[in-house]
Amino acid sequence: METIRSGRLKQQYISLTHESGLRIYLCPMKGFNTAYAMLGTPYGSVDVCFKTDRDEDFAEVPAGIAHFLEHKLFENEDCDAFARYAKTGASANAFTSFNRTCYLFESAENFADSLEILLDFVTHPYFTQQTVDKEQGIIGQEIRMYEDSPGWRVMFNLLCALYHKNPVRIDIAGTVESIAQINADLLYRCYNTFYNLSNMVLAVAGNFDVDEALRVADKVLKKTEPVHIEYRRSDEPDTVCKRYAEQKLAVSTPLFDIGFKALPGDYTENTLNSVLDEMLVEIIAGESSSLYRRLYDRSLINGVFSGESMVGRDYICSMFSGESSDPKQVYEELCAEVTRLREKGIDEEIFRVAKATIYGRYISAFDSVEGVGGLLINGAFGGVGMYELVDAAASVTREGLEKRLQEAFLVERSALSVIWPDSLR
Amino acid sequence: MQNSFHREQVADGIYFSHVADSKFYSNCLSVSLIVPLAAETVTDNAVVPPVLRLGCRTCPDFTALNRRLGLLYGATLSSDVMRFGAYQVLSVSAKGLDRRVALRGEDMVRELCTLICDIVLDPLLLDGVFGKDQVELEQHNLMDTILSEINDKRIYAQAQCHSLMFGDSPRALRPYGTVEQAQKITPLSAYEAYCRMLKTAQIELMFVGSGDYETALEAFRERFSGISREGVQKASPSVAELSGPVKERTETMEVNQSKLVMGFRCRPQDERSVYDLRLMSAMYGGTPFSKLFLNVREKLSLCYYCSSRYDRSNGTLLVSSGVEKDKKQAAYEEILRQLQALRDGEFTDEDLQNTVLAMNTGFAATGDSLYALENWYLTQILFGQQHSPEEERTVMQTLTREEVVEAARGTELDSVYFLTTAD
Repeated sequence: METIRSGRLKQQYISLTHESGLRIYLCPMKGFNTAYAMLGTPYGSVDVCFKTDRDEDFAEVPAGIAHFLEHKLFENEDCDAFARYAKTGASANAFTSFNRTCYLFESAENFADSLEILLDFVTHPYFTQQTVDKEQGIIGQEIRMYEDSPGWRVMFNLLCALYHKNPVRIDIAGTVESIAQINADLLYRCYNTFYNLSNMVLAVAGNFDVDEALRVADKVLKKTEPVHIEYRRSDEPDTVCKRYAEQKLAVSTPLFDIGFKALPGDYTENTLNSVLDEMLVEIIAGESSSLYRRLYDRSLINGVFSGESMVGRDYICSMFSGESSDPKQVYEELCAEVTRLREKGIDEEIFRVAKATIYGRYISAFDSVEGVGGLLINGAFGGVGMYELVDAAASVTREGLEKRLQEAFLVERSALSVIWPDSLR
Repeated sequence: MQNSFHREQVADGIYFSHVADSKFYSNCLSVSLIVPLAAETVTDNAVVPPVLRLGCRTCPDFTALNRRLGLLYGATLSSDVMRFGAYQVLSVSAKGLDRRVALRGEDMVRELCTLICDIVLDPLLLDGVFGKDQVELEQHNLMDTILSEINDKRIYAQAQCHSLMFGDSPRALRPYGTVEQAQKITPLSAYEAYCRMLKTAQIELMFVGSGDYETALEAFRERFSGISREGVQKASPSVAELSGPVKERTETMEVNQSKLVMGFRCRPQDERSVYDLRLMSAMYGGTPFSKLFLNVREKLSLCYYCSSRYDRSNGTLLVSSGVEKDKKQAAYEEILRQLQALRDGEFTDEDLQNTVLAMNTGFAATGDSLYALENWYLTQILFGQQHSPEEERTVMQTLTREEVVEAARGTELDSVYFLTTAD
């Protein structure tokens, strides 16, 4: 058991590996009413090709299966997990992203009972063909709902433009056709690979007792033989697949996503680079930038414009999203600004602004139990602890950013995705 | 719960409230102007906060202002417009780190308070009114905002049902007004709206966080006591009187999933019956073990989502669902059948207790979030109350099944809105 402290935040958390193999991170937070617990596996929509040390060959599984598995785990033979949580008052949920699946709850009372439910239902799968068939209908509805979501579509169209092969281009829920291929056997195969406790992490933040949490872990978790997972890294070219993608939907104003594809390192490098990329996003087109001002003054963007860095095991890219009457003009000007910065370098003042902004953003995450829970899980999977991430943001140099700008923001490795209103083009 | 709330008057119809809580690393300050919703003023009012956000006399340049915020560790300065019953609430708020985590030890509360006061009280003027360029820019953005409601079909459908329920009443007005009115905004009309609000609105100044609230109180008092006030209109809560036959409307659009929204009238008789309605709504469709979730979604697979929300500020309850077109009638009937089940007392004491437990978590979580606390107390103020989340949680524990049944019996269908594809 190790205690990790932050002098800056006057906070600490405990890190340990439970005898079951599960990595556990516990961060009690003084003054908070609720506890937030998250049990996660580094298994997301991109993990459609993998093998374990027990397998001969890589297995390819249908798109959307990680998300499907998340839905199905809530059900066991007798009742579903929500019915069990109902007795504790915990607010429970789960999500599947590109590279992880997490099960979580927030509770104000009955913490130990809620934690027991969480650890128990995630470690006791129950799939039958009948329940799989029913879920196909429910997830089919969810997929259709996302087909109507312009914000979702504009992002996936961009990822399809940026990436040739990387499965990050596939919708997290899969397609109606791909989920039709899922059966109980496939679900068990994925479960037994990715839900092995030695591959999972439990993070708890907020108002709870450390000893109580560990007692529950001792009670519920059984030691399992570790499974080593080998993810097949996609054979992704450095180039973008195409520079432009478009679709028509019922929207009032065109929506756009502009992306810059960077070359990935390992997960830890990608995580640390994403701190730099977030600062570069601020420098290129954040509210303090001259480009933001030029676009805003001409009504080429409005208040919903934003930028972010997106990172995973074998991908890293930066995105700028917004609404515009002329997305192509926005893209052109954004590329021109990137070129200018690459040639002229980063101004000292805007560097200080971006650095302080990102530092503040990281510290703000510590204002909530969800924020800390999320940072603990990110730290466990991304290989950079949550305090290290803050320290990384506080120690970025202008030279470091200028180097990263040359590596990660190339006009030829960028793309534009647009959702046009269906009544005009 | 550790949060302590205190409210005091600092000038005519101007109040300062603070919630001090040392667990946060940040502080949030806000200025909210509360005015009655009216068709003639709603749109001009709505353009004011974003125009103010563009700059002030002491920091006239938008980019320089944003850089100042950036150097204050990415402090946010945001403007917001919302509807609360028959009122429009226009806010400017600033959120930033507290001094104790500032790398250079800046007096963050003072910096943000000075900035927000400058933004609200010392705007950039040209020939005695707002600048033409600034107003035109935000007029354009306002029109975009109004039109973009259609982008999220779930929210759009709920808004359409709300309009159907309230018809010509001011409560039906969108918080941002209309495109037609937005087209008529001028620098003079926007400036007049600003002056009118500063003079007559109920003004709520708030501080939530771990920092020194007294610095904020003194700065706010000094700046806001100097403004000219006349004919101040204090907000008084009321619910709408809805009556008549059920209204129905179907709209067609190219969508993959149809949206069915059913609006109900509720008639709270007193303060306690408001609690009854909140609990009833949670049992009906507010949790993953509610009637609507378990039956309409899980058991019958009629909808991908189906939930209810009680709107205390209007005395209404909306059931919102995403359905296949051909399952609309079945979903409609089942949604009504589940309300009838509540009216008939078809639930166990355990269902009731479990719902109260789930609501307890919500009350506790409110005390753990800066934004939720700010929103909670502003809402309390608008209802003329000062209950803490803990106090309301305590009342919830005392409600009975009979009260839930009565709340369901007093809830009647008013309007049905359906968004679907053309045949």
